[in-house]
Order: sequence, then structure tokens, then C-alpha cells
Amino acid sequence: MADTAIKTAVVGHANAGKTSLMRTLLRDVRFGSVSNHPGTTRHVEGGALMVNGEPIIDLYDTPGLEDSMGLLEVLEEIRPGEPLDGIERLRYFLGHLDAYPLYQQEAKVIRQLLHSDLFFYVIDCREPILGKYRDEIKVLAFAAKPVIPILNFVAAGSAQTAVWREHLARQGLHAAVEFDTVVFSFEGEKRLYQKVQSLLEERYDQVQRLIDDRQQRAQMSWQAGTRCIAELLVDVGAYRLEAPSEQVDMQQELALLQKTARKAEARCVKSLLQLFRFSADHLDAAQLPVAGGRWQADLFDPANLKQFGVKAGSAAMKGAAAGAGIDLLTGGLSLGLATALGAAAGVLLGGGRRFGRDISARVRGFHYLCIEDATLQVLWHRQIQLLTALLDRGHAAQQPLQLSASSRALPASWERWLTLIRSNSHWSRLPKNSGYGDPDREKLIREIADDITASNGEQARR
Amino acid sequence: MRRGKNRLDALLTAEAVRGIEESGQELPAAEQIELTVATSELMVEERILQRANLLAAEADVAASLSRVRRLARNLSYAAIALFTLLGALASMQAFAHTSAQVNFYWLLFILLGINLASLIAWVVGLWLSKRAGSGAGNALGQASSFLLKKLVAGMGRQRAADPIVASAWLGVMLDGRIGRWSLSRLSHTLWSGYLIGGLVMILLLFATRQYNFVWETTLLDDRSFVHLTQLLAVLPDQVGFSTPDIDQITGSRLGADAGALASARKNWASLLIASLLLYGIVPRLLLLALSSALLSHALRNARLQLSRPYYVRLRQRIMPVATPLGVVDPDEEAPHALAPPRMPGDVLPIPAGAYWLGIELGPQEPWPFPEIATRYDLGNINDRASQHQATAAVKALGGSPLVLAVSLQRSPDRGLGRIISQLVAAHPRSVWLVLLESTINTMGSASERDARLCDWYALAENCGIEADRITQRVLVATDPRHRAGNG
Repeated sequence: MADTAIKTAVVGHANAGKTSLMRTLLRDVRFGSVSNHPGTTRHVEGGALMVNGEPIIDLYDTPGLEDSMGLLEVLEEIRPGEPLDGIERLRYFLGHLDAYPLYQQEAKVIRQLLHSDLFFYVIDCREPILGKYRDEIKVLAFAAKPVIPILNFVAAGSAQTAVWREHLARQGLHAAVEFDTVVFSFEGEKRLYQKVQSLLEERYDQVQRLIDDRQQRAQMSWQAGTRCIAELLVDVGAYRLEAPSEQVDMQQELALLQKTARKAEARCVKSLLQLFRFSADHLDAAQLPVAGGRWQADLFDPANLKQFGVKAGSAAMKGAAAGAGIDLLTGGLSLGLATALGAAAGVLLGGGRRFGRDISARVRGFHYLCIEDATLQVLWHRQIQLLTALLDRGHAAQQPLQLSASSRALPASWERWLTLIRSNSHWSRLPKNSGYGDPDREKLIREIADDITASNGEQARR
Repeated sequence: MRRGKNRLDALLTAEAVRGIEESGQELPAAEQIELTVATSELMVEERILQRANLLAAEADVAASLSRVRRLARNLSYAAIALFTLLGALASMQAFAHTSAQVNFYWLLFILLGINLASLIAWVVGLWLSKRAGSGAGNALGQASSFLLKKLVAGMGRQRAADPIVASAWLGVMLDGRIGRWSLSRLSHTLWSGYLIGGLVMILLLFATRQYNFVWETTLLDDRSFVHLTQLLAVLPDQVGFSTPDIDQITGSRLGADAGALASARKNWASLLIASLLLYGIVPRLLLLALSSALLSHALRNARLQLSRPYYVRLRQRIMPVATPLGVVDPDEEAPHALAPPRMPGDVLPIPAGAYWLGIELGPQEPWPFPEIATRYDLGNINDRASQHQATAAVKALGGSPLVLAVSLQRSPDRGLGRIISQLVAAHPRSVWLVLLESTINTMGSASERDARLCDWYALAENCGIEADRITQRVLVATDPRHRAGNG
């Protein structure tokens, strides 16, 4: 455990995505600053990758090698009288920096190169192989340190990954890893660390601890995310409000119901963002359709039904046949259970154990108001989309989150879940997010969470 | 067991603190405690437990916890008392309708039959809960959680934390392996109470009253009854209880006289008590011991469910994936004072007879493009050699106009700036700059493109090219092989 951290410099051309790599590996959307302007990073800033309080890899973000062509010329022209090897040449350059005022930033990079055990060379794969990039590799070779070329932006349409790989191989750089800092995949991150293992054999176990920890965390974040969604579905689905049946105007109760559901969803969104280490206040409205921890389109916006391909028809028609649920489409709410016919609408009751009590509600003269089926579907689709999108999102991503408008299939057990949820109103922790851990509720939540993993498993495993 | 108990306390405290924080209650000391915990040497679960322990003092969790515990304990004592009473009543009931004659097998069925049925239910429940992978969803679990909830809710002088702590207690005690074995233990305790209550009542009745044992059957063969009784007596015999012999058994058939003999009476009673002990109470007590052992094993190995959203978020705070190392090599230069670009009014047209020079153009901007005649093409700067060559060519141009072509794809870095500055310096007259854009657009969004344009205008101005000499040109992408074929 007494190993020191592996000092690693992150180098590359301007705008290749060095700071983006740092952000993604450090899981810190606030590290440094990222932009498309050249020379955004002008100092050397570090961050350590930790496992159980122990630093494993110290990463240092460096300024871009903006003028590698000029730098190489300067380095090659050093003629102090005796033959110099690469490292001596770099040391000489640093020692006589006053002579090269234009290369202060490059000097910072070279200083880090000489200090580190290893470096990550970040490449923008969208770029053609220009002379300046060839010169860059030559400069880096002077440091004679193990290097892992990181092919960034491989997910972009114009990526020339194969061309770059071939070029790097010709320069003797075979350990290249494809790792997109914008489109994240845990598998890519794992391969990067495995390359570190193969280049620094004596640090194998140290890096393995890092891989294991990150793997475990990734798995737990995913599981926690599925659980958040399952709990939201149960909480909102089981939630209901009582209203006297002679009351004609129920606007107040409807508004309260909607507000509670919105708050529950906002809580879930915030939780999902936090699980994947995106904090709501650092994502502005343009980047995610989630602003300040809430979706921009309101949960009860009828347009949602269309976007997520939810068929409001079935439940609504049944509701209409039962003479209830006039508010189905406009309010996204359902007035069920006012009558036994309301129960037959299938919106509210599955004829479960609590039927007797609900009948008594009728006798006592109550309506139960609850969130309608179609709204629950929208709720479900939105969270699933957010969860899967967050999984793929690098911490350097600046682009808005793309949400597909295609209709998605509901889980096979959806109807059974709803029947269970609807007939166990005590399972809901709303409105205060507190309640008793009922073993049956817990069982259903685990089942739903496992089902999300099973149907999105391919993505979760990446 | 001690370790299991401490472990359980720690888990319960952590779960209670989770309940409190998830219900939206802020614990003001949390931040300070997290800072302390984050610097400790402990592993993640221990850190969470330590944090919860420190926070629990603030929310008075320990008092609530002991209240809930006491309540649960009293509840189970009451249930045991109830079951013992029920057992006693059941055996009294069995004797109630008989005067001096007792049907041995009927009595045995009443005392052990219900016990056997509940035992079968327990085994089935255990198998089902194992298969479903979760704790007890069975009736006992439901009933006890229902009762405890009601009692906590109805408890006088209740504190705010009580219901939350109670629900945490239920969540831990009814879930997973702990739930399986704690409910098993409760179930075996209750039925032991039932059987012991029954036994005590029987001993009491036997001590003070005289019963003659008979057996009767309408359908079955006499011999099978004798056989059954002998079989039943094997174990009691070995343990040392006296049991009826064959004569006494056959003599006890309803209507025979031998059953009334004192020795036969004694032996039958002894067999009844032995059966109750050996087939009822002893197996229950063994299962009780087994459940207790498995429960304490489960408690010792109990883990927090770290994949819960609350714990995942907590882990991020108290066991960070990264720590900042700060700026180690600061930027000492004043930032490049790039003048804000002036946007051009009217762009000056490129004069005829201008010489063209490409800078760092890639395959997406094939050089030279068709309208440039070969004699006006100065090539494409792509490395040091071509740069020196081009600078020499520019110097040789004299007064002829010069146009530099760059790709909008390139980010205007200092290297490009240096090359352009050197070219502008080498040329005595004004220089034009053309920004090329391919139809295979990889610039992403419009705002990114605008930002890039701005950067280029700023760089050009910095290099001495006026904004009214900067133009843009869109290249229609064609197959590069086709172009190469045309020469």
C-alpha cells in the first residue's frame, strides 16, 4: 500500500481534449476549463485518482503544444559542442529558457514530461496527420518515457482512427487506446488503465486496485440509478389523494397531486445526476433538457405522450367507458375508484387485497385521485432515457444531451407491476419521501430495478 | 454474538440516519463530520458507519432505537405469553369433553398436528423466500411489522425520529438473511411456547385427575394401531420413558378392560408426554437453536446495501474518486492580448494574378483547388521543409499579391500564428486570408463555428492581416481519388 502514485502528464496539441480527459478520469465536471479556443489551459494543474484514500495516479494537465514545429526546430538546433541525447537536449532547453521567450508554455509541458513516470498523449482523431503532429511525436520521443496515445473523439463522424493508429504504429507507438472523452464508455477507461499496467509492470497491482474500484463504483451507480427509477414508479404510482365525492371542483386536489408528482420526479432527476456526478447547477438548460434538476418539458405536458410514443388510448377509453376520467388527457390525471366501474377501468385497481377498503371509500363518500397510467409511462420513459444517456456521457461533454423521440416498449411486466402498485397505496413514500420499508415493496423495487438492468444490460455492461 | 450485536447496532444506526436524511431533514453537523471521516484510514463501509454513529448523537437516534427495541421485545414477550396460553387452552380443550376416558390419538393430533402444520408452512416459506431472493414476505413478517408500526404510531410522547427509526429497524430485521432467520427464530420461539404451555397443562391435569386412555377406529385395522403405537414408542423407550406393551395397547381398545389398569394408564400418560417432548418440543428447540446460530452468523456478516442511491452519493463525498493537486506550474505570462476582432465591412476582392499558398490543409481541402493555375500555386505548408521553401518563394514574389488559404477546421494556434506572421513579414504588400470550409462539415454546432471564425479573425489581426482582406470559401467535397486522377 506504500506505493507512491504514478506521475502522469497529459500532453497533446491545443484543443486535442487534454482537460476533457482530466475531467472524465477525475469525474469532475469543474476541473480546469474546456473550450474550443486554442490555449485554454495555460498552466499545469493536477488531480489524483484515489482508491480508498490512497492516490494511485497523479494526473497533470498541461498546456497544448501549440507550436511543435517551431519547438522541434529549436530543440534540434541546440549545438552546445558535445553530442546530446533527447533528455539532455530537453534539459538544456529548460536551462536556457531565457533564449526562447516564445516557448514558455512548451517549457511547462517539457518540465512535466521530465518529471513524470508516464504520459498520456491525447490526439484529436478528427484531424488529418499534419506536419505539426509528426513534429509533436518527435518532441515527445526526446523524453524517452512510456507513452500511451489516447485517440480522442473516436465517436465523431469524421474520426480517422485507423489512419492515426497506423501512423502511431510507424512511430513505434503501439499502445494506443481509443477513449472518447465526450462519449464515455467504462470499457474504454478500463483499457486505458490496462495499458498503464502493461507499460508499468511493477505497478500492476496498484493499478488493478484502481480498475476494481472504478468497476465497482460504475456498477453501483447503475444499480442505484435503476433503484431510483423503480422507487419513483412505486412512489408516484401508489400515491393517491382522497377527495369528498360530492365535491364538484377538484382543481385544488388535482394541483396538489400534480405538484407532488413533479417534485418526486425532480428529486429522482437530481439523484440520477448526482449518481453520475453531474450536478444540476453545473448543467445549464442548453445542455440537458433537465434544468436545475428538473425536466424542461413538464411531466403533464400532453406533447410528452407523443414524444415517448405513449398510447393514451387504452386507459383513456376504458376510463371513458366507465364514465370517469374526464381529466385523463388534459390533466394527465385520472379519477378512478369513485365507482366500482372506475376500478374496471384498469387504471387504478387490479382487484387486489385492498379492494375491500376501497369499496368502503365509496361508501364513505370519497374519490381517490391518483396519477394516471399514461403519465406514469412518460415518467418511466423519461427516467430510463436520462439514465442511459448519463451512462454514456463523458464529464467533458459540452453538447446538449440527445434524447431520441422514438417510442420505446414498456417492460413485459408493466401491467402486473402497476396492478401491484395501485393496490398498495401504503407503499408510496410521498409526499414526504419517508415511510416504512415494507418487505413486499422492497421485493417489487428490486424486481423492477433488475428488469431495467436486464433490458438495458448491454449498455450497462460497457 | 457480542460482535453481531455491535454490528447490528451500527447498521441500525446507519439505516436510521439514512431514513432521517432521506426524509429531507438536514443534520447540520454532517458536513463537519464528513470532513473528519474523509481523512480517516477506514474503508468505505466503516466510514459510513462512523459518520452515522457521530450523527446519530445529534438526532438522538440511540434513544429512539432503544425505545423501538424495547417495544419489539415487549411485543415478542406478549406474543410468547399468548402462544403459551393458547397451547395450555388447546390441551385443556382436548380434555374438556371427555370425562375419564381420553382418546390417545385424537389428543396427540390436537397437540402435535397444528405444530406440524406450522412447521410445514415454515419450511415452504423458507424455500419460497430463498427462491424469491428476498426476506420474509410471510404472514409473520407482515403481522409483526404491522403491529410494530401501529404501536410506534400510537406511542405516547413520541419523538420525531421514532417512526423513521422503527422503519429502519424493520427494514434491517425483516430483510434478506437477517429477516429470514430472525422471523424463523420468532416462529420457533412462539411454537415452543405453545407446546410447553400445552405440556404444562397436561402435567397439571395428569397430576390432579385420573384419565383412562383408549383408542378407537372405525375404518382401520386393529393391528396397524398396535404397530403405530409401537413405532411411536421406539424413541421414548430409548430415552427411558415407560411405554405401554402390546397387551396394554390391545387392552386399551375402546370397550376392552385392560385400559383401566393403573400400570397401563401410567404407561400411556408417559408415552403421551414423551411424544410431546420428543416429537414437538425438542425439534422446535433444536430449530430455535439453529435459527439463532444462523441469525447471529447473518448479523456478523451483515453489510450495508451500498448500491442504494443514498450510499452511492454518500460514498462520493466521504471516499472521493479524486483529489485536486492544484496548480503546480502557474501561468506567469500575461495572457495573450488578442484584440477583439473587427468584423469587416466590405471585403476587398482578391486581385487577379494573385499567388496562392495553402497552410496546413488536409485531405478535406485538396490543394490546389481547380481555379488556381499551376503558375500561381505556391504549394501547401505542412512541415518545416515546406515552410522554409514557401517563405523563400514569398520573398521572391516581389509586389505580386499573396493569398493564404487555411482550413476553418484548424484551431488557430500559436504555431499557425507564427507561420502566418513570418509570411506576412516576408511579403512587402498586403496579404489576403481565405478560410476554407469543407461541405463535409465537422464543425459541430453553428455557435462553435462562429467561435472558431472569431478566433481566426483575432489571429489574423494579430499577424497583421486586416479584416477586410479575410474571406471564406466553401469547398464542395469530391472524391479525392478522382481529383488525383485528373492531376
